[in-house]
Amino acid sequence: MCLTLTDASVEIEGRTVLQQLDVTIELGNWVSVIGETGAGKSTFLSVLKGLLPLSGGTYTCMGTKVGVNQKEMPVSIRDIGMVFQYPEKQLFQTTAYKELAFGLKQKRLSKQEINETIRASIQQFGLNEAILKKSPFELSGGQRRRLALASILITNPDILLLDEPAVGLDPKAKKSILQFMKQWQMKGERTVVFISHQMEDVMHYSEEVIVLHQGRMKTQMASDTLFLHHPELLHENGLLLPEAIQLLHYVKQKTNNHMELETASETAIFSAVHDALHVEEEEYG
Amino acid sequence: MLVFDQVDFYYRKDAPVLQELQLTIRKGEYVAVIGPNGSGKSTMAKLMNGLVVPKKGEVTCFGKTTIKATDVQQIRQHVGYVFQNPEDQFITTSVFDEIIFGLENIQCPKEEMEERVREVLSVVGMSAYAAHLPHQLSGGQKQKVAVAAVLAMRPDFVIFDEATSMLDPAGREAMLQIIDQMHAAGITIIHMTHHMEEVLYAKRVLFLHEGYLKFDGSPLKFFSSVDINRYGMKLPFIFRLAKTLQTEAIPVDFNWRKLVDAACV
Repeated sequence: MCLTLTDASVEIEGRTVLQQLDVTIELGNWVSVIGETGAGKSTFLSVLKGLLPLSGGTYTCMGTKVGVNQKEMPVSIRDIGMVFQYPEKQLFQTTAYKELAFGLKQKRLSKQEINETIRASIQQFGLNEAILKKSPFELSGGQRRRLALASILITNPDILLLDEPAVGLDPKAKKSILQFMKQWQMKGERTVVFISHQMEDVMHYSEEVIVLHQGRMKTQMASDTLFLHHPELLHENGLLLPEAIQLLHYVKQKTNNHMELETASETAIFSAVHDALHVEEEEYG
Repeated sequence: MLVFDQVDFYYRKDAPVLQELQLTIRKGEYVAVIGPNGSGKSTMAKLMNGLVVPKKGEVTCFGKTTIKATDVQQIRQHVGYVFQNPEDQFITTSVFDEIIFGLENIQCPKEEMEERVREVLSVVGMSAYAAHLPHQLSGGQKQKVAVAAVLAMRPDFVIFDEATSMLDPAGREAMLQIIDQMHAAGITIIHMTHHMEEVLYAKRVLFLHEGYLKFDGSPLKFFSSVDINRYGMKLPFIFRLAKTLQTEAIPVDFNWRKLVDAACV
């Protein structure tokens, strides 16, 4: 099962935002979508959720073709969760409990089921029961973001679309939210489609990367392959390389060492750099 | 000169936001302010230009106090503020009008206005966009317009309140260059940020934690002496690389290539 766009284009107010995309997203992976501002990333996510109709081409969601109006939306598209930028701005209920219950009500769960689901899962979202009676606006910035994410995750979507979920958070809150999302994705073999400008995060969390440039798809590739073997594809499309990748190539050039790596992680790169530069083993802490 | 003299601030009495803040920022400095969400950074910024006033102590700018409403008007002409989301400050229908609006507020002479607009749009590289709708620009362009609007007032101090957090890497790079140019032109920069790499552009770091000023010194000293992992922060790339290469000789311009070059000799 997968999400497939074939020759897909989107026009908004007479302007072509996405052009002739051919993309298949296999389920079970963390797929990152990267590109400069204006590349069409957020539009791409909106198409996957069925919020924007295509002006050309087709979109098939889990085997069913997606039409242009509500009646032609496959049931499976409802199971795709979407988290916009600054999701806490969409909090609108008077208590955190009601916020979490909202999506469950749409799924027609009984009051008792809603209550049990919330109490059983609140802790895995890094929140506690004490906040349930509070107004979302009494919570800290990090807690509000978690609540907003939790209100989507609690409906247990198989596919989750994340539009820069950690923007504006401090490093600790950012790491905690992204690690939580990664565990959630891996544990349930779920699919995450993730937009980020932070190349370090893209390299760290993704299995696959889609590069968009001016509305066109430039490449779709395994993350490790892209960062280790084809960094020029990032460069050509106006994207900066993560510093660890720049370091790897700089040391390769300096030492004439091939430094073959299998994983594009900072730890692996630092370790290879350490070896290539013959830093004394006993001094390496 | 901007002075915080034993400043306390809270929105609710039982939840202090800033406590006993004592510091002086001199004209021409480039200061980075860091700290986790909720540490008091944004409140500190708001105290600087009188958007909020201290519950105890005093904030003064060139001798004027933010407690007096008549002084605040004058302080705001000296202290510009660039928000995280530039859309929060757009109210007109063209880039040109957006900048004019601020100038009208400070009663800038009419004959001077157009020249000032042209000058600041050129500084931020947006001269071609004067007639554009601010809301139709990209995130990076919007932020440049917000900076131009602040620059037009010819401030002595400019506060960037996480002003790079919504930008893509190219937009961020461009913004950091503009900030550098402003600093070189003599403007005092106060840059609130979560990005440790951006801290390296500053000459002085203020680290806030739970409402207290925990560190005040150079970036080199901060990253070499404070256990920032304890606060959930990550060392900048060059410091992480230096640990791997077992060296403490960090280049003054924080260029990590020099560390590699030194290790290759």
